[in-house]
Amino acid sequence: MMQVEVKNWQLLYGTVVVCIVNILMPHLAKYIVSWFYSPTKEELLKLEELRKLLEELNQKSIKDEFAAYSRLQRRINKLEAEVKKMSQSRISASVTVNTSIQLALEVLVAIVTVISIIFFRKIPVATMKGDLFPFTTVLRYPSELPNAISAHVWIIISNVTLKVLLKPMLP
Amino acid sequence: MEDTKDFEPLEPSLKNVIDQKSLRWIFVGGKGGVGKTTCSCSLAVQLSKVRESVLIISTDPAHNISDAFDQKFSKVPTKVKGFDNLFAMEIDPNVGLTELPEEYFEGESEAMRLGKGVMQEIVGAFPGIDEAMSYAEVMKLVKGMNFSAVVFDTAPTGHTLRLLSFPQVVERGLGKLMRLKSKVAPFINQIASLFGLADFNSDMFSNKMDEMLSVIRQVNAQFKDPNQTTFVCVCIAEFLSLYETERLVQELTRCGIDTHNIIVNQLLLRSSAPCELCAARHKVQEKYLEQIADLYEDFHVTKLPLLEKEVRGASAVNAFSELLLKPYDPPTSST
Repeated sequence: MMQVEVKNWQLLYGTVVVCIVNILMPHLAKYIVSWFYSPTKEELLKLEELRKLLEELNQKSIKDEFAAYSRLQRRINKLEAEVKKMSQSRISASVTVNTSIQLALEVLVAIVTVISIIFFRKIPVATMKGDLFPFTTVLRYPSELPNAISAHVWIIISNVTLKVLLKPMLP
Repeated sequence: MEDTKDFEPLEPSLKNVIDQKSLRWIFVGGKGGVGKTTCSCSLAVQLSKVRESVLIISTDPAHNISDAFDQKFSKVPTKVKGFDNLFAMEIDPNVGLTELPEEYFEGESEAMRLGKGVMQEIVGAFPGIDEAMSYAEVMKLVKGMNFSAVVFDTAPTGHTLRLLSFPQVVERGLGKLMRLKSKVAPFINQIASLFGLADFNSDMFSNKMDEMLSVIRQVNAQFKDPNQTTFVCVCIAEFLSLYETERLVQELTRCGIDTHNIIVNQLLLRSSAPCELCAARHKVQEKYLEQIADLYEDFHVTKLPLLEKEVRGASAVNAFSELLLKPYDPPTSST
């Protein structure tokens, strides 16, 4: 088994954290938005009333009680229109905020990644004791140390591995 | 249309429609075979007595107003025999842009003619779109002719609802398209000039769209104005018809189109039944009439009789039209 010597622990852990944030970003954004844009009390009451009316409607026979059925249906239509109006503005605002948060996080992750790649281009994350032929040049580029794992290769490895590991756990 | 308690029944006639001078567009609709054409023709006849000029348009592919008045009508407004100010027109909603005459595109370049072919293909791909666009053309034509009132004898329910909600949908869609067009038009003009289409101007395509959008916007606003537009629902006293009527009323409410008149047609209104079958049918009708009275207490419910003879020909329609204003007085002696 190959032995590994970590050259830069900050870069190692930092990269892993950034990759995790990148993968969890859509879920994070959704969670944040849901806190601020949850349905109002009024909306929840109307939804509850709608649910009760629909239950009542299911118990009526359209043939035997047509007039009562139709009156109930009209009330339901009116309530549905009200709920739709209330939720539409909330949903469009939450979509905007969700998109903005995701975009902001993506830009942040991109900046951090680019800075890491540029700043640590000569400093490898780790070196392996053993020959990594024929992948030696690719894995260490642009560092000059033999059998080194460069920052951007480490970023790729972390991203792919974490995606595979975290995907089954995410909704 | 709201639930009201202790509501005095409204006058059971269509007098409210005749008296409302601001009304311009009157739609008559309902399930197939209930008597929409007879009722719409009768309504048009009554309107012609109090208005300067009345046009009745049939959008039903079956074209029954020719049968009702016993006179052939076409795509252009034709005066109804026996009337000075009543005109009738039959349009085929399936004939849309694909059948517009060449004159419509007169004076336009080859590029536009080619574009027309492409447009036909695109239009043909969307079911119902060509009938709706021909409808928009009819609206434009009718607005230009300045009739005091226009009665639409509509096709059975589903079609009508789709057409009535179409202005909103088109306005939104076309509106977005036009905004997009204003952004890409300079680019398109540049590309066209690069390819040597010096006389090509994207504005040629958009001018017609602009015009149509403007008509559709006006139509949309007018359809939602209860002072200008109303929908008369025709039904018979049977479950399916009643169900269909209620569906129509709910949909019209959703679309914001006024409706406050219901005609219950083909009723057995004799004081004594000539046979057991009629007596049984009368009982069934009574049951549904009660439900209609209960459900539509804030509507004018006009009851029309099933007559011994068909209502065909201008004089029969004229006579029948009186029943829209005065309740039917059945003959007292039984057969």
